[in-house]
Amino acid sequence: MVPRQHRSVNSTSQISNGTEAHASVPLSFLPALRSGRAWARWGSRIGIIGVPILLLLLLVVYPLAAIILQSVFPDLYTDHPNLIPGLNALRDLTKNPANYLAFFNSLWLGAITAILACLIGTSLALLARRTDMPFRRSIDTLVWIVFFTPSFLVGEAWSLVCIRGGIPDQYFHFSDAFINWFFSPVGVIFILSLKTFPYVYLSVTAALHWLGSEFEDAAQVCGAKTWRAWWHINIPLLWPAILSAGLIAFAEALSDFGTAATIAQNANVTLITYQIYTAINTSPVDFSLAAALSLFLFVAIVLALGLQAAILRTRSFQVISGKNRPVRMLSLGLWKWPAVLFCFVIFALALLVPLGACLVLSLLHAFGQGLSASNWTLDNYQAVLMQGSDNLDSLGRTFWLSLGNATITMLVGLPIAFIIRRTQLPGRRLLSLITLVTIAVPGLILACGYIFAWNAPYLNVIGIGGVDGVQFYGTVWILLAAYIGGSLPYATRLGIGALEQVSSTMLETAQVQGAGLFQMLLRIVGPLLRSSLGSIWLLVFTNTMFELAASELLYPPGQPTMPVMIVSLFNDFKLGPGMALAMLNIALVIVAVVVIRFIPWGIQRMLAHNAQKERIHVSTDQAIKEELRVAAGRL
Amino acid sequence: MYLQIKQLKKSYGSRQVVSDVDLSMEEGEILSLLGPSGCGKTTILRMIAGLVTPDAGTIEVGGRMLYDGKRAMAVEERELGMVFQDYALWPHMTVAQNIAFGLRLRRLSRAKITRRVDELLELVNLADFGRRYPNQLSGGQQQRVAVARALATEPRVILLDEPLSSLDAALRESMSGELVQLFKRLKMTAINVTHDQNEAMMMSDRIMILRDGEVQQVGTPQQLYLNPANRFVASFIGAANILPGEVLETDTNCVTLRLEQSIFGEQVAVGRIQEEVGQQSGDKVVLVCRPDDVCLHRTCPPDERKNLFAGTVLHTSFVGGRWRTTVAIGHEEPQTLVAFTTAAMNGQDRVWVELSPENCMVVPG
Repeated sequence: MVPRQHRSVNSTSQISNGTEAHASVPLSFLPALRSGRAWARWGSRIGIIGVPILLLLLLVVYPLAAIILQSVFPDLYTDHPNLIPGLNALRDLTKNPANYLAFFNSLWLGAITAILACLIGTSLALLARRTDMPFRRSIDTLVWIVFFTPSFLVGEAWSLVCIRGGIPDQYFHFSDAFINWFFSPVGVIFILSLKTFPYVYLSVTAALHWLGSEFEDAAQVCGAKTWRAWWHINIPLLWPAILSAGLIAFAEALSDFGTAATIAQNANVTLITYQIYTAINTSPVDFSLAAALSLFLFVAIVLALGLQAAILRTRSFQVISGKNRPVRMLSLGLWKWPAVLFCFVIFALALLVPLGACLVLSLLHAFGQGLSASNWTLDNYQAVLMQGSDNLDSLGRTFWLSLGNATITMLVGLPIAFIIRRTQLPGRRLLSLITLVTIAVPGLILACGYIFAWNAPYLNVIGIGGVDGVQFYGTVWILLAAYIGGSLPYATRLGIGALEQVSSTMLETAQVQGAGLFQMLLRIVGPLLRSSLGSIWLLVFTNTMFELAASELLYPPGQPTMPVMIVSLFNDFKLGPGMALAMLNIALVIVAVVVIRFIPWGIQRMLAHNAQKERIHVSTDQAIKEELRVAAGRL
Repeated sequence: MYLQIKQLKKSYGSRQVVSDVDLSMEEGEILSLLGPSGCGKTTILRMIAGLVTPDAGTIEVGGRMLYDGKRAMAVEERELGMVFQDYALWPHMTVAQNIAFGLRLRRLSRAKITRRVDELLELVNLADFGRRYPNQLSGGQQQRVAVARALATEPRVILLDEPLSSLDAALRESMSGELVQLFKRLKMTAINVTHDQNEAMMMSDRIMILRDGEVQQVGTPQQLYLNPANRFVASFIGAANILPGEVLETDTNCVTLRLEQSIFGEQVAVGRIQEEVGQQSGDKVVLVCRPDDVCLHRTCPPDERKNLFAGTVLHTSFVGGRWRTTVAIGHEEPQTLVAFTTAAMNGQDRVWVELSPENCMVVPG
């Protein structure tokens, strides 16, 4: 080898002084890494760090700030903006019973929902993880499907199942009492519970993963019966997980729009999310009321999640040790059949009945004619898929928006996660805090903020909006921006969760080897996290395919997205086409799952088989689920 | 000097993890940073690599300032090699891709990269393993890939962060030999962090001993063993029997000390000192004697001898072909000594322990 003393000049400012670095004499066959490329490196660093942060600020922080400003300065977004503070909106809120009743409705319905979700989710988690119940392995998958099923579809389907003159009614002839009972807060709580129990399930299974059996074993060695060991040892140990998941369920119930727009309307229960929607979407438009309501809702959610974080932080027992602990399965004996029945009922209510109803309705001519042979048809699908139909347009629009959103969010979220988790940059804690707080923002509130923020008259000054400026508000682009703003915080948090699993030495080695930030993300972090990134992509894609709240507020005139279209078809009582469209939507999501998850897996298996070599580092589906679960538990 | 570190400091909050470390190394030298966990050795290594920014001091390698007290050169521009404890092989790349990573960043031609990778695989005896993935290799093989990867970019210095600690004992020994041969052949300057004194002594030209972020002594393994600078070094390098006391009188290279009264009453002992270490009467010192140098007598030797203590055998065990015997000496709070004997002794046997003065060192306590 070459004596290294001669390889370079003595320079203390290699980074800024490109010319001096050129003076180095690379006697070795290796060209020196440092050179004029230093500038390019700084450029790429600014791009990788600056652009994502700018997007986060513009698409998330600015619209939320606009809501707060709007509720304090009612004239800020009028044609003649001024900064005169006024509290009329808040006064409206307290004066008009419709407003504060909607808020109270949301609160108490959310509280009961949270309790029910805790009961269902915890029971399912215990049955799936700690007993020998038959079919326990399929519960995970079913819960994930429930997690992804849009609430507006479940709400609408159940409304149609229980409605007077609906298909079940034609056979069973429901009593008035039953129908009145269902179309009341009871039905709303019912749907919300079915939609929110997955949060509890995910949190408790994550906790059980770390809990192990040793505590109950110790209790049993001391002479406790199984039920007593569970009741006095394990349940208290699981309390923080259950409680914090309950608060998440509460927050989700508060911010849910799909239920509020479907069954809650049919049951004449006004929830706060629908009240916000009404304030903006019916004339006279009341922006300041919408802002004030949004602020209240946001504060309630943040309080709930703050409490949740506090519970997780103050848990006094260190169960989490990072080790997988041995687990002993509880033998249920004859009780396993009631247990299976319980699980079956839950999933029948959450999935089988609503999705089955959707499928059946999408295949019927007319709802009122029942299940007679002549009533079955594929016309609905044909009508929806007809060339040039509005429905097909909306399908395509939503599909492209989802693709774009998932891809952009994934690409932008990873650098932000990387900055927060793996760098020492100043301000990363603030960034982390922003993503944590904004993750709680319901799509409806964010969309509300977009209306203020991106339709503001003062933007005309810098050439956005107005008669001859760049059109942003009222185009499909603002919808994309709102989708990105809505998914960026949780894509970032999930990215942080995934990054925790990459040992820091792998990144440090790359750095010592000469990789800059961009190279490291491209060649090391990206490939290592490819399966997590795939999961994040799918999650965002699926959520966007079924996104209703932001779409309702922001869709460009005459260009609805698919969920908007479906709901408007429902409202016009065109159930067949609406359901057909919903089914197509679901089919697209399934196709995406297959393409992203199973095809790479299959190819890898095939290659592995052909080459007769072991499979290389694949995070299995199990690992991804675990990852998402841990992340979901943390959110 | 090829590598020069001056007055390096680092603290986390109020805790000083590295204080005023000076170090200079010749090119081609292998140096170990040795110390108990938390002594700051890894921090020093990471400061050289640039993964941790020092608070003050300078780091210079091969005439390039890596850190001049204010500006730190970016990690990726320092042209160093590093091997981590867990190897940190990228699981999504084959062995060859792992090794080629740094070369690809430097935009070498494909042919050159292939040639260089083959060369390196040959060097670490893994010629046919290029197409495998890290998870298909054993621990020792992974380790060698990590070394090859670190060497690929012809680093100025190779930094080893406890590279052998995740290998089993037998493999560790053979790997340390292999690594030393490899580095010597390439005239590679290497800094090795370890907490294992045997590994440090086997691998290094010189060893720097650290404790609580402060340098205790720098020297060849022999110097450290024969002339430890203080009690900590004496007990950290090799096994040592240590008797505390204070200086009574000093000669040119010989000291008489009064052993701790609570243990030995009025008994004095004699040991040699290094000339440069001037000891004043009354200084707290310790007498250090290696177990190999301890003589056990079953009967009291007839002639007058120095450093002779009456003791009781506590326990014997057969270790490494000899009997390792622990003996309690002293009065009120007996102190335990370790010695090796050729024949077994019984517990509670009365013995006479002789620590001959020429084999005893007196070092600061």
